[in-house]
Amino acid sequence: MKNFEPDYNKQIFDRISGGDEKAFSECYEEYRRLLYPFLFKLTKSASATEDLIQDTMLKVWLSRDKFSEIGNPRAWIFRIASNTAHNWLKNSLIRQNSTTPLHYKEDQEDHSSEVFLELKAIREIVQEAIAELPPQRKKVYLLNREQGLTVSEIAQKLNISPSTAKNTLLAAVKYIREKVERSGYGLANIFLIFFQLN
Amino acid sequence: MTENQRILELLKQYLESDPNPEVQKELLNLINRKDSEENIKSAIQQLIESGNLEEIPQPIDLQSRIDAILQVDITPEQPKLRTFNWSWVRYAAAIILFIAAAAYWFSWNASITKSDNNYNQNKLANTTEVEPGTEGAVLTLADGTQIVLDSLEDGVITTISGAELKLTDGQLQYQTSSSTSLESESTSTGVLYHTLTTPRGRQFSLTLPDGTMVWLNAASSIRFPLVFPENERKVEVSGEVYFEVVKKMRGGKTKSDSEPVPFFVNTRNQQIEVLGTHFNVNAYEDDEDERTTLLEGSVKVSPQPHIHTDDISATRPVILKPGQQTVISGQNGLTKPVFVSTDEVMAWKNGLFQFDRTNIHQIMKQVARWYNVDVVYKNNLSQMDFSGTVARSENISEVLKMLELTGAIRFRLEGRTVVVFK
Repeated sequence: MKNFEPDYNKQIFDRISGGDEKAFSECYEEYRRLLYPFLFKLTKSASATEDLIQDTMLKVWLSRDKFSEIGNPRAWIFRIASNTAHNWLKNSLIRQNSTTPLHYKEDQEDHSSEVFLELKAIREIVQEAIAELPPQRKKVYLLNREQGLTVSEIAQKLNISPSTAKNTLLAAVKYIREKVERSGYGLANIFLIFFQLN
Repeated sequence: MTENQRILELLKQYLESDPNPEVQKELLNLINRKDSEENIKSAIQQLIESGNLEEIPQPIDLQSRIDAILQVDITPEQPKLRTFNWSWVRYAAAIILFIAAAAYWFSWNASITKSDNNYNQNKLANTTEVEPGTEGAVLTLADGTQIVLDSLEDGVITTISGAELKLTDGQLQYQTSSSTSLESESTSTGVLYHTLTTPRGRQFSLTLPDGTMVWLNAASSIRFPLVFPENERKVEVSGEVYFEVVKKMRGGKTKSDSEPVPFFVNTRNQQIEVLGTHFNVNAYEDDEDERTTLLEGSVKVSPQPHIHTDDISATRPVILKPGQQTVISGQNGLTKPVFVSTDEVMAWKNGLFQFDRTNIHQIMKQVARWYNVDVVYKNNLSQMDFSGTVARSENISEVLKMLELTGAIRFRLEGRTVVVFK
């Protein structure tokens, strides 16, 4: 098991903010381990648990421009998970106390199907945001995300300083995140519950 | 007790296996009050932080969940088409496969030279072998009793309320000795439901009380009553299920009074209404899209009431003609019917994996269900599509080898985990 001490967290967050997918996968697995026990007790469904974890980590990924401002990444991620869990609980309680056909009520396992990630919709908004980026930001962003170049590789390629490369990259990520948030996918509440009271 | 303490107390009780209605009511009241929101969130965070590290289940398809996130902010590449096929000599007998594969001649012909070259370098690390799935299922009776149907001999399994549950040639059948006593029984006690479930690596078929035949692919289930009420037939399914529904008339005083009794299939996102037809439903919980494909007759597909989309027309019911398919997702609603290759849709029931520009994740989901394996992706391969056909009776290594022959992808088998990499 990895040591999730502040130093390790800082290091891995620094890599994620540079767009390191492997670091993100590692982080995902660690936080899955930390969040699973509570979320499973809450939802009593393995797939709903995985959905809530995915939703939490999506928010983490899309907010990677803010990592440098976050003093305690672990508490921050737990906070996002709490928001996600709160939402789920609220919707679940409302549903359980509404009148639904008997045979639907019995199916506790089916919660997950109503928990729905709007990944596709977010992706479209991101595409729009990328198209709107100023040329240099767009270039840096695409080198990072599409061609998988690290910050220092980008710096070398474009003949700019690594800190300029990183700042440009984070400015692009910030622009995209804010656009997603403005579009109504408040990142603390990305998943929608496809359940409506009659 | 402060409100904070009370909230913490209630949440702890809610986390118990069976929260009582009082707790739920009180929590609901609190959660609906805006001024409690912060306290509830804090209490949840406290519970997350104080959680003990417990053994948790191995993730299924973790990498594809991660990939889904990573692709949110990346421009999709042009999808690449890959093809694979099998060694002709070994499968010479499989004429049906030959015909199916002939259609792909042009597409794989171009890549076969490259494939042959790569084959020797790319040998599958054959540490273990995984055999294909078999016939089998678990029957859960209305009272919760579970019967494993994998290794039972033909014959009567059990008798419930006068109905005999029988296995004939590995197929589950109902035989009602006296329908009148059954019907009165069912009205006095409410309709009793049974559930037939296939785990991963199992498929099964059964005949429902009305004579309708049902085939379940791996990792699927059907919930059905011991006896159908007189004027409606209703079942619920998940996973992939093929139906051959028999027409049933409701008795009227005269012949002209009698009307057909509709048959309803409910999934999480759609309701399918038929009178008597052959159709296939694919509604796996781990897939966003559910697909209904009609082979014979006519069906009406309606979104479940919870489906709401921006495009109003996507929430209206559609009628399918034979050979047509409609796709529904919680997000996009119901698509207009399109004609599809029914061979490809029905391949599973005919003992085949058959793919036509099918995404690697979809292919590996089918493999995971049939071979009961977990799949781990080492690289982001989400843009890869493959075409081809392989018999489901083969061991897993054959299927993986076919895919490797394209030279585009490699696999490592570690126990029951398939590692996919470039």
